[in-house]
Amino acid sequence: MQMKRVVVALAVGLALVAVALGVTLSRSPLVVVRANPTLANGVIATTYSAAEACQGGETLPAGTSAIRLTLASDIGPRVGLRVLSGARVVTIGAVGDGWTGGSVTVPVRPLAHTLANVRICFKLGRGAESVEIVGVQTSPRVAAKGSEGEALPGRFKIEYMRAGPSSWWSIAKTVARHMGLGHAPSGTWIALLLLALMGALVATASWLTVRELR
Amino acid sequence: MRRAFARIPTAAWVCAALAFVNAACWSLITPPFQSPDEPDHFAYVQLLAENHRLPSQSLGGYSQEETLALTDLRNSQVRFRPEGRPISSVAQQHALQRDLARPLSRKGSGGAGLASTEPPLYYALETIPYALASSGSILDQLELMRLLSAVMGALTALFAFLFLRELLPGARWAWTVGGLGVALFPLLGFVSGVVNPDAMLFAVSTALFYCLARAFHRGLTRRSAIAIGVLMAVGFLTKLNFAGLAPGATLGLILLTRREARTVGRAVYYRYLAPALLIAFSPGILYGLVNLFSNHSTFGIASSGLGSLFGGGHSSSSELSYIWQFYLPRLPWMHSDFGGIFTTRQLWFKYLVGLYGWSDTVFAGWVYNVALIPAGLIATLCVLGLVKGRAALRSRLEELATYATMAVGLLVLVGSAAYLEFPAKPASFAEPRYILPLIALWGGVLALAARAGGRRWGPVIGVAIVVLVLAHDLFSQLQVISRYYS
Repeated sequence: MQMKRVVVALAVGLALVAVALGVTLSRSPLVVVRANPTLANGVIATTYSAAEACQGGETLPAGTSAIRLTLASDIGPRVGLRVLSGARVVTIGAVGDGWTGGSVTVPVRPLAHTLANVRICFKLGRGAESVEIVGVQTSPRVAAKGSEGEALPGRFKIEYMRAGPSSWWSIAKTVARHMGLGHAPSGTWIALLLLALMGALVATASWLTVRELR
Repeated sequence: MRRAFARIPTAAWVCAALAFVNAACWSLITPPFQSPDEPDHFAYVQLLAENHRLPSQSLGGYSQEETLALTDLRNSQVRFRPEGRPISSVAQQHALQRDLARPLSRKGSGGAGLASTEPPLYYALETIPYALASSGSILDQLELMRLLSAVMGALTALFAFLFLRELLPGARWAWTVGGLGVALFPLLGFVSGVVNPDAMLFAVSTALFYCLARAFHRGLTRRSAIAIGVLMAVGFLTKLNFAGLAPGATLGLILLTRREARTVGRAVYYRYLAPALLIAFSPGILYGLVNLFSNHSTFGIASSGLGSLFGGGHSSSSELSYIWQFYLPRLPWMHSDFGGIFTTRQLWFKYLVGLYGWSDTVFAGWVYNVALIPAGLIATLCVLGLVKGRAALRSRLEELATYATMAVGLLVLVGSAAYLEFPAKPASFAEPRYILPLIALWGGVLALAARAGGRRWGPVIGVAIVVLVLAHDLFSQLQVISRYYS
């Protein structure tokens, strides 16, 4: 009876993992569909408290499901993002605090059509440490604006992302080829070896679980 | 020795083998030098092997070979930049191979960056695979060195299993749940799949937990006391963070000796305790003396962290308040050191669930919210398991106090090191790998959670835990693959 329970639980668990894997791999990875021409050359501003900034002259491509801002922090605060066309908010998104690194990707509600000349506004919550806004120095006329409408020293880099045209399954060969580069040993066979090792790992862990827990 | 090996259950060996395979997979997935400070750790090994000397922080950079490899691998364009990708074309691969085939110097100028202050044992061991692959390229050497770390990951899983055998002697099936939970834990696989002394620190710390548990369970002998002393010495020689575990391990040795003295007599204090402590602290004393005479901080990062805790120019209450908030929610009377950040969840829980590469590879935000559900269930079941076994707990208070002191000691050490960077960088040491020397206790949490279901449902809960950890590992690897190779 105990043996049966363990086997059924394991079978159900592994089936759920397989379904989750299948669903994940049938989706498409996010790809950058457009980036503004600003380079991430250096820090244009640093904020130590809650702050807000807007940057005009942007184009929001149709179907954009995430916007990547070049904000850098070790423990970033909450980031709220609004996209405005004139005074109208066309889409919004937010990321909770605790993000880390040189950029933050904010998921947003996608639009059916491309919108030109929009403003990208982000609002930073109160955080634990400073946030650097990364981009290039520009003239005040085209620069991003702070919460009071004052010009920042430059513009920040923004990338617009959406699900790519191909699923993970269909780009598996490309991923496998990339995995074989820059390593020793090198070659696409590394991906197959990895697959075989992980398969053996799952099988052995399952066997041990049934053997010891029955 | 052979008899001792024969007494180790097959399941423990299998857990160790699985941990090795898992770490080997992580070593293939993680691009060269794309893990915290791996270029520095490699440079340390190269200095030992090629220059036959220890690194100095004040001296310059890497060898010509490592510098060129880092450039060709686009290291600086990839680390900390989730949008950056390592080389992805055959032309780049050929350029890399062409450059590495040149007669480049392997002698560094004497520095190993952040690794410079670390003790040399792990790096000395890594010179073996480094030398074995010396006829190949730097990438061949790196991969073989990573596999030595994977062996240490296997030892961690083996000792975690044996620790659970001593901790929960009546629940054989639960050992496997905890053992697999440790072996397949993705962060252990990631760190044991790269060149990093943390891999060895995890193995040594877990072995120490096992030896202490064994001594509490079966009684202290002169041999086990010496073994604990030797492990402590190895810990000190592996990474300075071991200093955080030492007070707890020393307390354990004292409590064990006191217990033994009641039956065997007071002679055990100088026959067991004194030699064990002498062995344990001899590297620390030696290292301290060497640093003292060469005008360095006596115990490097450990001495600066603990020095500030005990009156190094800061208020101790501010530092203690900071350390508390580093891990736990702020108490009403404390000044807020982390703004609105709930550190327990946003730093430790989130980063334990998934933070790979140069701390630049994470899951989508919703994953961390969903992960709260199984984590909450495991925590609840673990508490239930403790309540069920409270009678046994009362008789093992000294043992539990030892583990608790080891855990608190390590947390305080990491917190006090982070405080040195405060307020400029409030959480610079908020990396879960720093608390992974306590991974044996994580195995205990999983085993206790499974045991809460009793003999009837416990194994089913155990299966669910194993599948959960397996899925966590698989999806973590996929996340890293998608970050670097899509």
